[in-house]
Amino acid sequence: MARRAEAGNKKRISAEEWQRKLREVRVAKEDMNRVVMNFLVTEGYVDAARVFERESRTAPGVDLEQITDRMEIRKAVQSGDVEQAIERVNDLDPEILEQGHELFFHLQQQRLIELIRQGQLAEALEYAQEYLAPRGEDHPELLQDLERTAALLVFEDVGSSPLADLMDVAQRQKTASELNAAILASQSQEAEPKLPNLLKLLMWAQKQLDEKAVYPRVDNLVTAELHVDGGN
Amino acid sequence: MAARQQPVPSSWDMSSVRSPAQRYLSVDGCRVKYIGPGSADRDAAAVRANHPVPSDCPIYYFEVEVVSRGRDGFIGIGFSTAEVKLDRLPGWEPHSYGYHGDDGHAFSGRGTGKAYGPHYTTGDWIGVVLNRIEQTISFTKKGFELGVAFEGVSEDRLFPSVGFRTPDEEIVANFGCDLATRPFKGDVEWLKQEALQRLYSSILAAPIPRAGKDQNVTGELVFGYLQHHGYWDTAAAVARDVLGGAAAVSQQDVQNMQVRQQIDERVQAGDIDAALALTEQVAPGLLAGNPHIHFRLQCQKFAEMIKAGLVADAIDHGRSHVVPLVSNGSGGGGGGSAAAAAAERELLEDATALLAYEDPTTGPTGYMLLPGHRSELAAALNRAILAHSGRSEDSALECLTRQATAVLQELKRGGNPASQMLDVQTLLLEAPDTAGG
Repeated sequence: MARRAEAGNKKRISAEEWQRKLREVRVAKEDMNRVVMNFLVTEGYVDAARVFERESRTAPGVDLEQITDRMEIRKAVQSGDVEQAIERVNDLDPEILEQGHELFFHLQQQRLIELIRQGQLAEALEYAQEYLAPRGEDHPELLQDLERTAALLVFEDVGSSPLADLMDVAQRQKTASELNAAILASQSQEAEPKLPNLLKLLMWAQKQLDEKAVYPRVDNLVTAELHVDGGN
Repeated sequence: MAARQQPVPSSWDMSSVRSPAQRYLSVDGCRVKYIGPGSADRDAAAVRANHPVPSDCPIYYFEVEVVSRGRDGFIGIGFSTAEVKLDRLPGWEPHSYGYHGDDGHAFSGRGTGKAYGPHYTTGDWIGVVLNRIEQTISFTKKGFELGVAFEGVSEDRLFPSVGFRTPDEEIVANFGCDLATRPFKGDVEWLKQEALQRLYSSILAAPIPRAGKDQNVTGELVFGYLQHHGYWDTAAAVARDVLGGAAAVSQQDVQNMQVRQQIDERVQAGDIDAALALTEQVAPGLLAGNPHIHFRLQCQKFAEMIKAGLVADAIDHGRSHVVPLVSNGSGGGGGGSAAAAAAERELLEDATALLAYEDPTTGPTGYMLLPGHRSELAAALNRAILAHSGRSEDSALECLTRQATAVLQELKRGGNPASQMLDVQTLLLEAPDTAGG
């Protein structure tokens, strides 16, 4: 609606003309199927990917077994079972944690957080001294993070401390995503599905074209309905 | 993909020797030497390329090699518009930009520059990058990136330009017009790749707009796509795993799709009666409300009867069922425009012409009985049925893909520089990994 007022010098593309342009675009079903498969695979929906492979004869392009492992590792971190996650990553590929100092540190930090969450303070202290402290010596870049984590042990009620963000469930998600991305990278796979890119490209392109033209645009991504602004 | 190819800079311009300063320059193609007195700033002389950088060019690059620094190496390299006087170094005047060799400063619109890069001198080569996506100019020295020198560079018509100030200064430029024999020294592909990555990152950094914070836009799109194409089992799995049971495959949809597939097969087989009956079943009232598609079907039935040798029946059918449906603009219902009426009359004439041939398929209107024509009719009927039930021909995902492609094409045609580097197909099927999200 705001666009209408400034529509003076803009090119006007009628609904009919636009429809004609849209029809000229060739959208191959095989391509769309690949995009859908890519979405299912990168997001880790293994069951759906298997069914889709059968129904559409689209190749998943990756080993679906590996996805199962990856998703279970992710789930372990998300449910607070960091120990299991570390074990399973090492089963999958020990290099992931050997080479990812920062990632490994974040997992250990998460483990400490979970111990504190469970009120196992003695274990937490022991864990910090045994595993976390030596890491700071080897990797000075981690020191600041380490100090912040160690401070968790001092607060009686961490939830209302300046470190509350670490105790948040969002922190689990963050750690889980970091680990997930590292596993994907180790398997030379993309971490992000391509489908969101299409939507972002569309939003960007429409915004650019808004400056030059009035044309039927899509405002609601889910319905993909065309809206003509300013009438014609 | 641009509307028309714009000329590109290919040499220094010797035609506009209107400025007295031009006396001070010896210009030969891409080579320029200062031959003036060079005793004061008023002796400065500049030259422009023969064409401006095309306005839709996202990343423009050219190189300048310093053949000789001359007396003081007072050389300026950059861009200027056609209005800028040529007795000034690039950067001294508004709408001109220059990186100067004697002090390494970057000048824009004034006689004093800002500290920017190292000095340059005899034997050095300078790469010049105009980035229209980010509206910047940056330079490289001997391939080393010096970073952005100017921001907010919005002039439409910028010409590569060099200026001189002291005797015997000499340069030779490479505008990249003959890369086979004169390749660039710098890695232009890398510079472009970097720019493209930044463009991708900025596009992909934007969040996906959603109706509510719980709306799973991508999940719903995938679900809609799967349903639309009848991948029912996957749709069910996605509804369960991706949408958390917030959606379900409708049994009605499954049945309707199966009927649509049958209709398609019937039309392709020339069995119009069966197609008509099934259409009435899956989309009651469609034929009555859409006389145009109804006419096309009855017309096809007429043609199929002729093909089957049932000429007498065909004529009966034509009189009773086809002719009355031709729209005449007087209350035919939908599709009653003059153009549509003319098209219908033409189709009717083509159909009746089939009567004149012993083997109608070999007549001039035999196309009506070919698979191509039948499947076109089948597709039109399918569209009509989908529209009748309030559904579009494409799933939302396909509509978005079409829209993105069409908008991008429109941008390219309109000369939008960034769009020249983008392509839906590439983004969807082989996007470079940009960790952004």
